[in-house]
Amino acid sequence: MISPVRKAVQFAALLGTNLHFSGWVTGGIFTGLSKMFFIPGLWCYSTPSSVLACPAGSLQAILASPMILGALSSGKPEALALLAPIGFIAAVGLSSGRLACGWVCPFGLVQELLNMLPLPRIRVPEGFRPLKYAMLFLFVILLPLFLRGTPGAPGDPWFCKAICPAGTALAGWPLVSMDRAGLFRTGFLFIWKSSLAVVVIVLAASVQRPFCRYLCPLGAGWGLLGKVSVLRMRVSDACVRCGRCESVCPMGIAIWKVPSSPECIRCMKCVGECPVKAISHGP
Amino acid sequence: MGRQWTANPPFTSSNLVAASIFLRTALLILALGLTAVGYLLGDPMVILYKAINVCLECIGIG
Repeated sequence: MISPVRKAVQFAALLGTNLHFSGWVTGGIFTGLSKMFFIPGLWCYSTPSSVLACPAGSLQAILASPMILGALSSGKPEALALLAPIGFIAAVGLSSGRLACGWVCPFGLVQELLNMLPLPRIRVPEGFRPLKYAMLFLFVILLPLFLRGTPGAPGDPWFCKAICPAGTALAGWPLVSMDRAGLFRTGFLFIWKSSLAVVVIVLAASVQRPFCRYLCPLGAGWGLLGKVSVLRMRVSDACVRCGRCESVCPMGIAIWKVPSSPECIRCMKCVGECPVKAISHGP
Repeated sequence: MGRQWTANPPFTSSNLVAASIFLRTALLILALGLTAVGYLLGDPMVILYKAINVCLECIGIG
């Protein structure tokens, strides 16, 4: 029963985030005030139809701004702008861990749809999972904040610039293909990011949610905060260790071993699958 | 009349669970407060400005 409800919520979130339909025809992005607010998921704000802001992109943009280091060290009010994305990301994670990944994130839904393609399944070594923590701490926080040409010069949003396949596939490809004015000159960076996006898309057909498992910086942060979130998963003593929960888990985790796993996206598939109803959720 | 600790001791598992829920809820409220402070006292136009202009880095140009 949960699965259709979750799918409905995911599609509603995808629709609600992408109400600027005309962007797909004109090649222009939405410029309304709603873009001041964040979507609880990863979705590039340069996607032609997007009407909300990506929290990871916004955090990097503020960290990379020229005034931020000075404002932080001298306690100027400009630094308070950082609190909006940091507080939002923390609030989502502290409320329910990675639930937003499983129920709201439009890019999570895109990967789930790609995974419905009838392609052979492959196994990716578990050792790649910690990569997403490097994405969060290195590419989203440290490099945008500290890697600058000269002191006071702007930095770069390094995760967006060098990695993000959502930005490439959903914003880069359509905007560049609709660029009739010749505004965009593609080069090595575009080829690199496009290659990475192709790998993630192809992988998504064979592995469930590869971006969420190995690369997503928001998922990394929400997973860590999920350890102390209000909503948590529980496994009771009734568990018979049959492993059915693990077999249906889109993140490939054994929740009966680690109920508070930072990988859990709270999709609740395991709750419905458990033959003895040992898995539940609550505060 | 003193408090009957034997009947209602301070560190029962249910008390710890209640304390844990209280602390986690307090953390969540703090995060929501930070978000509000960021919007009210910070400069949300920084977010808007970035979001309404084509992000060249995001699309692989910048």
